Amino acid sequence: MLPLHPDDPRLTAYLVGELPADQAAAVAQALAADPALRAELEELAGMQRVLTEALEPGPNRLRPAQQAAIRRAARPRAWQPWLMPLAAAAAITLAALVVSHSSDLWPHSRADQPPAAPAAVIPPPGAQPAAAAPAVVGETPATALTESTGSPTLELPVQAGHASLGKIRDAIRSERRLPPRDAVRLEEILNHFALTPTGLTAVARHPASHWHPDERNTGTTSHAATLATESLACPWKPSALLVLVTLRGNPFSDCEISAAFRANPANTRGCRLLGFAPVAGQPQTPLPTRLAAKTSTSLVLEVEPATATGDLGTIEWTVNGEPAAAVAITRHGDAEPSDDARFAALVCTFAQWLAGDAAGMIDADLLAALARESDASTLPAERADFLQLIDQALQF
Amino acid sequence: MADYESALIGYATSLLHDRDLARDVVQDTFLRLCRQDVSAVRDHLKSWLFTVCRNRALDLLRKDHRLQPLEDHHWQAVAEPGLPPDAQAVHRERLAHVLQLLERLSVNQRDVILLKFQQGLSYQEIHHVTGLSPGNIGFLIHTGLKQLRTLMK
Repeated sequence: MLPLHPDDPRLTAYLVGELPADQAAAVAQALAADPALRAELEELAGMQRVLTEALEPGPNRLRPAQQAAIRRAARPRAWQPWLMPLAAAAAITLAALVVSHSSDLWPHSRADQPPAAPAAVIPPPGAQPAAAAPAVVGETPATALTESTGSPTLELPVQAGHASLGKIRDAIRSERRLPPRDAVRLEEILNHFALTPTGLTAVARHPASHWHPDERNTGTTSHAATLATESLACPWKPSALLVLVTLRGNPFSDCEISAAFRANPANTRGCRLLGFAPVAGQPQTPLPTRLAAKTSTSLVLEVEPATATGDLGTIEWTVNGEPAAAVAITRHGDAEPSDDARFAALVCTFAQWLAGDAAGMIDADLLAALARESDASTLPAERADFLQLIDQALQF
Repeated sequence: MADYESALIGYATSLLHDRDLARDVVQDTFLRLCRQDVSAVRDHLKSWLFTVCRNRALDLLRKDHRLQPLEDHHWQAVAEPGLPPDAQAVHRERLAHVLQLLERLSVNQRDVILLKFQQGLSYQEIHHVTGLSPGNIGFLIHTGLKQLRTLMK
């Protein structure tokens, strides 16, 4: 017979089922033979019941935003675009793929629509053969190309709407479905957010008399507009760069701005402006050139470098007819992109995923991985809501 | 996540006495799991989750110098929002009473009793979470129950 005292911890271990079978049998024998032990066990069982009932956790749930953040983090990591240095050898390999499959890797239209004729494909001087030629591709006639000085040039719009994100939210949250593809306007989603690139920036000034009556004819100048840029690795195409461009007007007066990306044909294999696709059935109009006071417009270019280093081209621009300082576009190696640039890349990825563009290069895993990389506890509410929207879209 | 969400929040709330803070700790626990090599923790996932949750909660308590017993009013934050009002009041009262009594035990006694009777962990799992030996855990639970019984009389 097992000698067992009421203060022996084995009594509680027996109660909660923690004893091995042989010891449990011995305790059961001792209990059968000792009323004091049985009374003690009853007391302990009573305490067990009190604790179990009082401490029952109940239906505790995390907040929806917390659950969404965890689901995003739990998705498989496709790759880490921000952390992956672009090794020269890999870039060469991928560039070769781009050349041999250029029609697949430079989509100009949505998958469910007949492909629109590219606005222009201009081979740089001396490039042969034509099928593998470097190209600057505008998605719309509004971004029509010229070759006035021997360099492929892409005209840049300076205005974009903001309505698309609202339609996408309605579809996903109210109608519980993905939005129709023609409701997805990349440039409008992008311009729903205030984005500030942290790379090379140029400030255009104009005579103060243009806007302020007290300073007319004083010879002073004032801020007219700012053009800021930042380049980062393209998440869906490791061989390419994204260039975020933000034009910001001054607080007092509208500006007439003409801007264009002039590619350096020696270092650039191709380029396209993301978004600004033509609207079916609507007449094409000239590029808007007016940037309203206190507003800004952001654009994203996808640039395919031909070399590991060197200038990819310049953004040339004029403000109210006056030339402003051009901004060189270069690749910045492994420099860590700003939060705004990452967010812009995420917006572009989401918009193209929704629209079915870049199919084969953008999938749910990539989108989820990018969303996770952008997630942070310090994220502004509007951007956190956008991440939640992506998460909801990925559930369909 | 659904398997452990409620249990972890309940456990963290018992340690922190603040449900919102507990949710933050549990979110952080799950995010750490996402960064973890799952194959390394799959066999003892439950213990792993409670270990991380406990450590994060204790870190917060240390930062706030709150490892000492709390005043009564701190228990107000532990009310259960998912129950009807009447049941909520009863549950809150009972929970507050038990938690107040638990505060009078040693930190280790309280810890192992919560893990055993609130979360249903085995001695071995509690060993993984707390680092205490199974023998010591058995002793702490046994003496803890007896002290609680004395306090309730």
